[in-house]
Amino acid sequence: MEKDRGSRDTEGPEVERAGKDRTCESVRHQTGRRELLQTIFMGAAAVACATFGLDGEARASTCSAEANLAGPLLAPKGLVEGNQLDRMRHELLLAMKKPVSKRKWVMVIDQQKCIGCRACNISCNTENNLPPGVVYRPVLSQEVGKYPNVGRVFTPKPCMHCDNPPCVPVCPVKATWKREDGVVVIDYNICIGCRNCLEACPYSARTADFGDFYGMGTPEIMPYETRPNYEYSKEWKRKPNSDDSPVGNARKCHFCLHRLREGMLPACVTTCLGGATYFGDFNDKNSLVHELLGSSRVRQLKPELGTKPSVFYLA
Amino acid sequence: MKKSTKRIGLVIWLIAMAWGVFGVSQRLLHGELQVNYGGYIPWGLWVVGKAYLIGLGIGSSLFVWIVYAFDLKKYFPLARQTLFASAIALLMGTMVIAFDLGHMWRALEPLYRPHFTSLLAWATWLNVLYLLYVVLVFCLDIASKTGFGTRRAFGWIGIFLGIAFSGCGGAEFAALIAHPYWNSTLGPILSIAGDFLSGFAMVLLLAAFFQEDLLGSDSQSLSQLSRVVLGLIVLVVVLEWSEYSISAWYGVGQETTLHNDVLFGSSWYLFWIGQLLIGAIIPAILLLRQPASRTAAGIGGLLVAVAYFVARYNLVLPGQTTPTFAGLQNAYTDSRLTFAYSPSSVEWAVLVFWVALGIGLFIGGRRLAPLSEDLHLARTGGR
Repeated sequence: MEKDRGSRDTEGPEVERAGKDRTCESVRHQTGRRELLQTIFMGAAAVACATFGLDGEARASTCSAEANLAGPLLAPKGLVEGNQLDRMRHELLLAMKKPVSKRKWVMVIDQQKCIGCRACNISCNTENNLPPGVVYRPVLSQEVGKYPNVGRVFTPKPCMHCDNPPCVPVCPVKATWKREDGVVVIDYNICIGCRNCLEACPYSARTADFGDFYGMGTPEIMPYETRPNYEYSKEWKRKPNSDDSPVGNARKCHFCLHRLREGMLPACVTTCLGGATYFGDFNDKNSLVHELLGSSRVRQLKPELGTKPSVFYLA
Repeated sequence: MKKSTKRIGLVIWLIAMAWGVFGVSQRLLHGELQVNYGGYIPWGLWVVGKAYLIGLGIGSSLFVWIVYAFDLKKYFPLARQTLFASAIALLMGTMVIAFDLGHMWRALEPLYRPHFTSLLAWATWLNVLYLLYVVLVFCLDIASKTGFGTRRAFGWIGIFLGIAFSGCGGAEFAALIAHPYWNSTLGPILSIAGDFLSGFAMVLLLAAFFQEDLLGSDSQSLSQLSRVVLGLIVLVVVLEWSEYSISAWYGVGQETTLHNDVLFGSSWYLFWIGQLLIGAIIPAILLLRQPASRTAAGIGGLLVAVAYFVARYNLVLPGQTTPTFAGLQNAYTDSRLTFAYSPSSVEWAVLVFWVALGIGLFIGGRRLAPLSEDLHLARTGGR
């Protein structure tokens, strides 16, 4: 099953690349026409400004339209050169060649690019075969401003994999710890299900598996619900009316460690429609995430708590 | 006690046990499917029940340790029965929390693979040690092997262990930075004071209603015990006032919102009626006016001991009902990922089972165990 998934993943980007090459060909043929349209549009905008005396805001919007047309020139170097997923995957493969202690996984989420589609949430649920009551990456949606000047900010919220995680020292049986590469993990076979870590997490990043199935109360629990998941590179089977792990355990995002091991990016990264989620090795100074974390837009959730999250946001 | 009263009590007890057995069987057969706590309110009624029962156990045994440590002979007759009740309360609290675990069969793991940075690991160890200690002293007391010096030593060790265990229970909540409602330095102090209050109230209840033969002719002892409970009520009210008034003074900050929710939210009656009126004002009036009256002291003790359950409820649950992020409750739709909670019937049934079993063990044990044997020996401190 893992192999199947692996082959799908390696196939995916190649198909994407082939399609992109075809697009590039057609783009080259159409360059002249695009430049012509661009000139006409800018000319029309200038005439409109002069004729109707647009106010400052409208001027700004026209200017931003201009900036968008010239967007790629202003974007960070890493985003221009080819597909960002390809780049992150390449960096992932390089990082995986290093010893665990030499890597430092971080995630960067660009909130200006996030469109709130929740594809990351769905792909995470599917990848980890999450039951009811368990969620690793909810997407917060917050309305800002007051009518008529309103906007919406989306905040995908995986486990923060804090450098100073409050959830780790509270575990009474050492069932959860921080790996050398920064990922906070849970040993399902040790966890006693006290849910103290859920209470300790200021990000509500942990949930608990109470043994629910979506099909409970219906004539049949569908097979997709009982198929195993492969978290931590082990096969975990959930059966109705059984308290075998992971039922009864605390559960959380683990940066798809099982996928990383196979050279694949976390599911939420590959499925992000807006390309808003970045993942990589912060110890690699040439990595995309390292580049992005040099931005003045970087922020963290609840930094005042001193938890030092490994998930960063570009506001 | 009248025969008809006993019969009514027996019927109520049998109904409670039958309902409890149903709840326990559901928990054992279907795991946690029928509980209402979830991912965002992970601790529910069973954590409240554990905090309450363990608090009763610690507080009542602390009474015995103080009596032993300071050689308060006139209260020696209460010691054996109190230790018996304390051991039962501790055992029942332990069982309730075992049922709360996702893997209840791994309940003993903190004992043989402890992570001592965790207050919960400390609490588990102290829980087991303290329960064994109470049982040990009780057994030695029955075997009349506790002379004056030994009692004194047992008393001091007990005081140390009891306060450590009680403080640890409060610190378990207070050390969690994720919940501003709990994250207070006053938490462990309130826990110790609360355990003292509930435990001493239980002792007063037992002394007034269940131990007429021991303190029957000594109204002064009962009166003093009533006044001690009265003092503890005042202490806890002052601490609560301190906790609430500081955050309310300027009316800003997250704690203010949380405290306002407890005081004026949808469950306002728990605080004002349960905690304050039934748990403090009425008992205080009773104990102030008629401290030497068996009925007044017994009812006062009963009200405080029972109402302290509401105080525990108001400690555990409001701390979890505020989302850690605005809009978190709408980020993912799932019945277990909400910030609203009311215990399910199975949760109530399991708690009722352990409480009813504890009461049954106590009443049955009183008949079988020599709890009031050799009054003279007890009065003279075994000398």
